[in-house]
Amino acid sequence: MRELYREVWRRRELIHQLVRGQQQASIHGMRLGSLWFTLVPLVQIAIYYFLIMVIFSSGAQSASSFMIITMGIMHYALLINVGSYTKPAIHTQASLLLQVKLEPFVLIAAGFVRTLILSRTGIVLFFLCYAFTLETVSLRLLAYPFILLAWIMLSWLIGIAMATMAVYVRDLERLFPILLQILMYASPVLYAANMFPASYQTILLLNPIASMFALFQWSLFDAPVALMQPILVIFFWLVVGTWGAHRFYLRMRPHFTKVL
Amino acid sequence: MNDARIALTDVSIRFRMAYQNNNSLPVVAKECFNKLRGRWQPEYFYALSNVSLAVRSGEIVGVLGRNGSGKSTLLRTICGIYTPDTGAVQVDGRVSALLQLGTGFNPVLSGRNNIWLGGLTLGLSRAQIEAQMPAIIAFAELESFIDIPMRYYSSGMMSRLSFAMVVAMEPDILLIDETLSVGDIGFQKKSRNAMQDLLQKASCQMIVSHDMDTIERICTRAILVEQGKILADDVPAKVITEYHHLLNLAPEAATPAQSVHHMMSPSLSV
Repeated sequence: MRELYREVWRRRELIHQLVRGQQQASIHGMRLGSLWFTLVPLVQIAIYYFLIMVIFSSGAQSASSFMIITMGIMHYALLINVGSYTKPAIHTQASLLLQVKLEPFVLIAAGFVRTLILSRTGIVLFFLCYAFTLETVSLRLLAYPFILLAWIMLSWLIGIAMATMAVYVRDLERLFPILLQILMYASPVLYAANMFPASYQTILLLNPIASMFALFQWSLFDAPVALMQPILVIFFWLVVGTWGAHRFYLRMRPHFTKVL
Repeated sequence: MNDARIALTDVSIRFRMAYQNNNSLPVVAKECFNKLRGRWQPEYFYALSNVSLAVRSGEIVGVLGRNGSGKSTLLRTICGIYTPDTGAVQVDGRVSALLQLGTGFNPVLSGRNNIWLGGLTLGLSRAQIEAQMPAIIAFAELESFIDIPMRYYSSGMMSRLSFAMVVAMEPDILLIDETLSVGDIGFQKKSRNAMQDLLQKASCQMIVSHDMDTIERICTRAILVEQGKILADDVPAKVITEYHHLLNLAPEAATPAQSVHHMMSPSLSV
């Protein structure tokens, strides 16, 4: 054992160079550089403050916390997988795009198909669990496939925008997981939608992900949600997102190969 | 210009030099400040500058030039990888660019699955790949290894498979960048014959090579690219002389070095 540590000491210059190289590679091309490592704990503080002081101190109770959390995590995993497999779809294939004329949108689509494949098991598992514990069948359940479809469409649009942006803004590699965390806690993913304090509800539901999960809970758990606002918010974001994400991609596409 | 299969009119391609430098916060802050003051001007590097070129059916054009002169950018622009900042590119026919062997391969997949993947990436249809599969495997001499993961292949085996796929593509317009030297001596002979066949089938070709023998022997025309501009466009012998002048080399003086280069990369000696 002593030999191992002696070797470590003997190779301390190499260790220094390896760490320096890895550190530089991890922030390569990022505008905020090492600042990201400070930003992450600061965001955590804000998130936990929001959860403890706003959500859990609202006093509202949810009927089936386990199923709500399972539903939330399994469906939110779709967006997490967008971050892992759709967002880097273009910039990780730089060498291919510089050798072959290939529409980069195909790569985004391939990344999203992978996202769907990896997310579907979780959603199916949740649904089996849900069906097993279901006591009464509500007609609201009929809306679930449409809400799920809207969620997939929204994730796809986010995927297009993120994959395009990731070519230019390398900071997205650090920023996107932070955004995902903020969005997860600012949306009723891990708690019931009625735990939103009434005074915050209108503002928080402007976030399409919050509206989406409010609708999921309405459909699957008969949650008391006023439907009009979430539906309008989701419709608005889908229309604007479809136009905006595709336009953004088409505008940036001619320059991809020059930046990669 | 009407019968041209490839036509470039005043094409310029530029890259922003600052792309590699703007990754730190102070630099970005300074850039934003200068933008607000209207004083920010990005620095550009012109890889191609007002290039006009027409390649007709039956022509085999050799592209000469020093490293970094814009040869590869020219081929990439013709096959649509780069979009010109100014000017227009017109290409009439199916383009196949052999810019690098092994494009689109995944080492985790088997050789057979990589033929599917590589073929689809290069634009072949499922039917074309299925029809060509036995020929590709036979040409690459990989019958016994085609179903094992590619990460177990030697570099020679991988290159052979790559080259076999290129041969199977049967392109209309063929763009070749640098050497295609692959495999052992036996396979190199086979690949030279295949290239010869390929060059006869394609209606026009552009070949980037530093191998003067190849350019002089197989090309009907040559162009010399320097700093993103076409300096000379003539019969290969004259353009090669121009190239030697550019390098400050007399043709005779260049011969020994070239013969060494030729020994090292004989694949384009078709």
